[in-house]
Amino acid sequence: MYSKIRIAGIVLIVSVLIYRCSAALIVPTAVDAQKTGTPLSTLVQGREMYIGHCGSCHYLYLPEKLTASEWNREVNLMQRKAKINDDQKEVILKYLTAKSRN
Amino acid sequence: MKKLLILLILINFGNLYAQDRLFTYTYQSTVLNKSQKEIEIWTTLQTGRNNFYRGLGHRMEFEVGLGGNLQTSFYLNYDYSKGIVGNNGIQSIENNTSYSFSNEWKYKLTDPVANAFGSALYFEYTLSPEETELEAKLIFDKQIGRTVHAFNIVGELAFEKEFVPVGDKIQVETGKEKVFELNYAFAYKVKDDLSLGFEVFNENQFSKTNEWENSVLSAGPSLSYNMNGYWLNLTFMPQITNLKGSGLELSSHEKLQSRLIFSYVF
Repeated sequence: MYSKIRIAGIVLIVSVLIYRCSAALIVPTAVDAQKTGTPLSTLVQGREMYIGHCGSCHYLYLPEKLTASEWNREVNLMQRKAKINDDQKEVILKYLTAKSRN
Repeated sequence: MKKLLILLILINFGNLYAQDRLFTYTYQSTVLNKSQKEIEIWTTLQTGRNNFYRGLGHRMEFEVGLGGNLQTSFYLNYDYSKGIVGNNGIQSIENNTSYSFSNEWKYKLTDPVANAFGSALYFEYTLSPEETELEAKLIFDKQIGRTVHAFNIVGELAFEKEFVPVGDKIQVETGKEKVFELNYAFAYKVKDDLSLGFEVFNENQFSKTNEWENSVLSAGPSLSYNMNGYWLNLTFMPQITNLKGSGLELSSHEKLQSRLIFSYVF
């Protein structure tokens, strides 16, 4: 009886750990593309560029943490440090604002 | 002039993102972006052995991002110590000073937020007149909410020159030392610019004949604070125990280590 409870406990703990360790950065879907009027490929590219240019130096903030206007401000401030041009900045912003807080 | 001042303020102040180097002994997977540069000044204090001992180690590090998740660093190292040592029952004072150069390469494999966990490969070599040291690390980290966890597996191989008098000549022999380390660190982001946590450090030394000599466990609190392009990390690391023996290992390790890293990001 006790061993079954112990096994169930271990399974529960491992499940919670796996869930907590899963990727937290949302992958854009066709629904997001339709909602924002941005091609899905651009949103996916924006996510990849966000990981590549921003995630190398610091832990990524989740898109839903900020509003669209806050993301605009932050990405503008970080553009120089992240070494991204205006086109790259716009693609990253399209992804972040598609999933931003309302 | 006014516009320039506003631009500088916008560049350097008030943005959401702080640097995320939170620990002093334990590494995380983040690397600098291409052509981004950073200078770090390290100071490590080691104190308390069987007899009096105090040592200070300084490292000046210049870090640069190469792009493609690759980063390299160059270090100038300066260490000095003073201690009382015993030899056949007679005590004497021993002073040691050493200078060396190190070069580090770090490659980020996965991201701690976008992937299930972050990971990176790390390699460093150190050269001094008497020693060549190779060090490799496997780095893992994960951000969960306001907490950060980091875990390192470290292997070190040191080749040390020993000068043995033979008659009227001096013979040079090479001694080999192996070290295996496990590091774990935890931090809680109290604010975007302040993190508190702890680090755990397990160092295992092996003799020339591959005999496992000691397994020293140290652990203590850590603090990380950053401000407008500058940051500092501080850890106090008292020795907890020697897992291979009883009590503390104080013949070649210290009761307390403490490390401060101060950095400026360009």
